[in-house]
Amino acid sequence: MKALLGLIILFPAFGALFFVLFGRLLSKKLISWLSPSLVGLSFIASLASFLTLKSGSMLYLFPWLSVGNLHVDFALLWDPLSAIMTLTVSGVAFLIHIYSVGYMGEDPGFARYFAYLNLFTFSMLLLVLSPNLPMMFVGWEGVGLCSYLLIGFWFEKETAANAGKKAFIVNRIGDFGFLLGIFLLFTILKDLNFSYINSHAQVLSPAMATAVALLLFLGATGKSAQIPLYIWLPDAMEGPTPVSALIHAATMVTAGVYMVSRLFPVYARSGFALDVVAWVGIITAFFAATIALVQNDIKKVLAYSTISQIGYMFAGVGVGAVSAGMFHLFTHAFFKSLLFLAAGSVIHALGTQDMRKMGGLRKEMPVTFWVFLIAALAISGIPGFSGFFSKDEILAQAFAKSRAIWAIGVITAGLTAFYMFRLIFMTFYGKPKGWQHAHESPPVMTVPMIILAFFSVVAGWIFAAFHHFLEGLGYVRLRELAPSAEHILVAVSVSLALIGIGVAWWVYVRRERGLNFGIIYRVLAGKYYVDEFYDILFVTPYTQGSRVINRYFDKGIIDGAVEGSGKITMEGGKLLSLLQTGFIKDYGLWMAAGVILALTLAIRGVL
Amino acid sequence: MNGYGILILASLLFAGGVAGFFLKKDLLTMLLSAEVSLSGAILALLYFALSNPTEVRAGIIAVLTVAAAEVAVALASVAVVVRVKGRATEKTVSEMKG
Repeated sequence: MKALLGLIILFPAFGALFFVLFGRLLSKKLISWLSPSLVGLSFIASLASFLTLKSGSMLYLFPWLSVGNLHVDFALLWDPLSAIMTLTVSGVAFLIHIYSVGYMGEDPGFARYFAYLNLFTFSMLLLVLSPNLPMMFVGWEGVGLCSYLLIGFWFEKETAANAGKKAFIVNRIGDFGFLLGIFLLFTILKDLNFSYINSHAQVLSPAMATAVALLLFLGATGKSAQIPLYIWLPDAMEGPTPVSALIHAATMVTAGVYMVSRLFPVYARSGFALDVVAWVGIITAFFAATIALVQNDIKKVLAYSTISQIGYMFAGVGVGAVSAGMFHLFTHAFFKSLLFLAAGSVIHALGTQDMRKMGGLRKEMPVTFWVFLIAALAISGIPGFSGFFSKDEILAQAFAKSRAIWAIGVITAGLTAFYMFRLIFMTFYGKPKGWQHAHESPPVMTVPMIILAFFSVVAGWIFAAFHHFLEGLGYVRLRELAPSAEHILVAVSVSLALIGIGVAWWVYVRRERGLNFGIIYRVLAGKYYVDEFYDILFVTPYTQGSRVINRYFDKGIIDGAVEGSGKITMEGGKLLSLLQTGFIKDYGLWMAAGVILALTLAIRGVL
Repeated sequence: MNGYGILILASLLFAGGVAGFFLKKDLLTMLLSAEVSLSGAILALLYFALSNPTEVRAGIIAVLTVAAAEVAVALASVAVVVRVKGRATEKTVSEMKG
């Protein structure tokens, strides 16, 4: 039954190809039934694989690359890690496809949208099912391409087109590191299959392992929007909101965490690389959470929140707890995509993303409000909701490894609760600001949200089974903590989350206006001026350098060479045309001279 | 008949043709001279055909074809030049531009 694995990627691949080729000819109705159904079939195939296939099953399709001693097979791997990812990706993608039917209903680019969305689903599933690095890289680039296409989906808007470009270029920097890492790994091990790499990680010297791990991690910081390459994700909010939910919250941006988990033995070989992963993760988590405190665009808050939560996942993997990081990835996929879908529902109703123009939506949009509240409780780590289990798992594991990482993580948890409830209070409570009438979204949008809300609650309850399942990988272990210590840690993080919610309530419901901290506020609202800093450090020198090269190298040397060759031909032609006198006798003379020359050479035996 | 006699005759014809081509100014005479030198070449070839029949005969036919084609094209050109310019000398042709 390994063929099921092929079906998982075949359905969305067919959809992408079909809608790209014939999308214009098909009716909206057909597309809105076919595109989600294909992803639904893919989800059913994943479920069937989950129920029937043994861990480690591999569907071998064909040899893909064979050059020298590099042999790469096109195959699909089913193991605990890919199983979790495949189920999450296809399940969330299915719900978001349905939601998109409602959200994008009026858009003229309907067919194009679903072609891209199916292509994305295919690429993402290829990424998680690949058994070797080159195939993973294909999926990696595929999702990057779809991200670019969908961020710039409304390309007639200049900000959207620029945001797409920014995402693509920033990801190029990360992918450059990722590719170098693959090359380096190949020169040492001569094999790029994960199973081989992970079982031979001991062959790498610690220094080599550090180099490989950090290069690959550079790719992860690009794709998963971590410091220093996180800057593209907030701009990516220019895309349609379901895209933000699927690509820029639930699936693609967590690919970096998946990759590090996949190659964990290589990282574990170098303690330094793991520390880098953990520290980059936790600092990003804190840093992005502080920016999220002061954003007024509802999607920007969620974007920074995503960056922050992925930081948690990296911190979890970095302290050696792969299953904790993966568990947070799993729960985050539900509640964060739900947050985006609910925000999309609000945007759909009001036509604005500015929270200062919302307020008081609780009555008009009850379903949206309740699912939003559930997701916010989940991300804030309130006991009983999914985020509580995964976040506390990470914090407990961090505590066992490094108190500093744990401390930053707990403070971040408090900030998270504050900005999430700031969002809720500004959007759903208080008096309406600047809108007359709002309406609840149609069932095609609310039903997927309700399903996601269900999972946002219950996804955390399976944590014990989840860890046990991932132990099948052979390199997943959790540190044991004394139960009393664990209870204290939980108490600390939950009380900080409650304090965050309380402060948000006091500021935005009691006082009904934000606090002003002067310079701190301005620095946060200016997002620490990182974009401006990168502009001065990289963008300006690059454009200025390009200008200089254009003037001297392009205009001087390249244009000179092109025009020069033309000039040489023309001058040569002029010179030769002197022979054309128009006198037949001259031509005859040249001919005779040629004959005499040829005869002389023939007689002397040269020719 | 002495074989060398034929070769000497051929050389004379050829040399005469070439000399006529370079010395005469009238296009028609130059054309005839070229034909004469071609005849010289054909005569030489005929002599060699005695020892190596097949290939050389093919060569002779080729030369004859070229000569015939030349006459056809060149004679037609000369006729046009005469009609336009009144007479056909080397000078009238060199004044043409195209």
